[in-house]
Amino acid sequence: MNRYANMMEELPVPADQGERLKQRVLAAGGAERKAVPYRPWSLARKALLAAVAAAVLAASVGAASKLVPWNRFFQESFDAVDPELADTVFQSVETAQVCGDVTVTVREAVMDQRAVWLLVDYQLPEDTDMDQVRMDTVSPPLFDLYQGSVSWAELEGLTSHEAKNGPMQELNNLYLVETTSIEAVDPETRTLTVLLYGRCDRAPASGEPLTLFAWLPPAVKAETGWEPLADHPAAVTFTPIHTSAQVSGTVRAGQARYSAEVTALTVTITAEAAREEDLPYGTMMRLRAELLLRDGTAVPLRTISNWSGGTPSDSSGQWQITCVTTLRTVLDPGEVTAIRIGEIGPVPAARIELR
Amino acid sequence: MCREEELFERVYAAYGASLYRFCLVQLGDPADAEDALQEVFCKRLYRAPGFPSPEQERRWLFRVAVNQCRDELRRRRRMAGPLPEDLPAPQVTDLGLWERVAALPEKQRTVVHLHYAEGYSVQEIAEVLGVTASAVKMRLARARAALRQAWEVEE
Repeated sequence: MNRYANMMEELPVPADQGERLKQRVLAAGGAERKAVPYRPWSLARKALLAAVAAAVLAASVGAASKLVPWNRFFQESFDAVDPELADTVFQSVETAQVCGDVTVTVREAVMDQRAVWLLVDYQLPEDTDMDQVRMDTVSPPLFDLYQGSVSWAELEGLTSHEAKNGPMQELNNLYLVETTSIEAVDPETRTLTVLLYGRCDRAPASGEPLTLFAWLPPAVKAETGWEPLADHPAAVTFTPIHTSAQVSGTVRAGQARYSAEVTALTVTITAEAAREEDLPYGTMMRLRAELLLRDGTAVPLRTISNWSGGTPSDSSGQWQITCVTTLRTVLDPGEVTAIRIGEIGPVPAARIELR
Repeated sequence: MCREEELFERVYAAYGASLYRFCLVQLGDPADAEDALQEVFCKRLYRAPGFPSPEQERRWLFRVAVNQCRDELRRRRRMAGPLPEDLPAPQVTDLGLWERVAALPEKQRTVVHLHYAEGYSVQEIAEVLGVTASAVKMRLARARAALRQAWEVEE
């Protein structure tokens, strides 16, 4: 087989290939950046998205175009996205780890310093009866996402409980994985494609390794109940990069003190007061909040966001409520100059200047 | 020179020839191999994650090249049929060996090239392809047996 190595070593590469390829690759990048973001919905939503895009994004909706080249699973979670902004949050990860008889692959990521979507392939053992594994019968694996790295050799032979209390203890469990869904089942390759969403309060630095830990394997619905499709945990370490662009600010309005933070994918608003009745409801904060942009326009937060959390809590005599909103678009935080929250019952309006 | 141009030149200088040869082995046609290579470099420049080491980058590039070539081979199968037989052969020094390797199934061809031309170990190939080490060993064994049989038939 040294013959093969020698033959390949002597195989000529066209002398002008490098320059030719460079021009094509750089031109392809320019074309991607000029592509118009467009995903048609109802006419009413089109008009709204047109207003949002014109105000917030730097593209013109409505012209013939190609989509931002995201996987279709991400496209279903996001509305119109400017390709330049999409580039700040999207990456092709393609990192796989063989864990005994299963393989976990992180294919793609959309993330900033607060939120992360991962598209993950979970390949089932070779002896899996794929006739039983369908979208309506299979339950996804459950994941935790840590900062730090771990090898399969450290986890091999351990149960989930042993792994969590053993090697995984060395890592930072920074993220809260909020949703996990199976997006596709491929019987030919025995692969489940899973989309998960998570968020964190303390952002890891970009370029630090993260470990996706499948602590509960997927399961299939059988007559006797749920049957696991693997009998051990699995993990894969990958190293994403993400934007850290953000703006933030605070203001006192009425009896409450507000603070807000805007990142590419999230808007977080916190209200603090001495009495619970001086706080706005978390849901109402999202419904009454508007992003005020540099060009003077106002974008209602409810029109570009998925959901928000927040229940009041009392700590050391101070009541607090935090509304974390995940966006259906990608922002340039530098374009958002303030957040305005309208009156909510007896709680007066507030305007939080951001920088 | 812009950042992307610098990145392209660095990556092409380090890995361009190897990736091109791999794509050529897989696809058999220089033009198709360059098209696949273009996609690999586009992903590297515009869609890649961070790499803690050059070796991680190299493995990522080959993984993307494997997938890109597989996509092209699948596309060909869905179209009219195999490549026309009058395509010019690449300029190799051992045409007989080239043709025997080209005749192997794609999975065997891949492991043969990554092992013998690129010097990857069985475990490293398993990580690049996302399969088990035993699967890689099996594919290598079958490829060697097929090549040995082809030599014996010729002699």
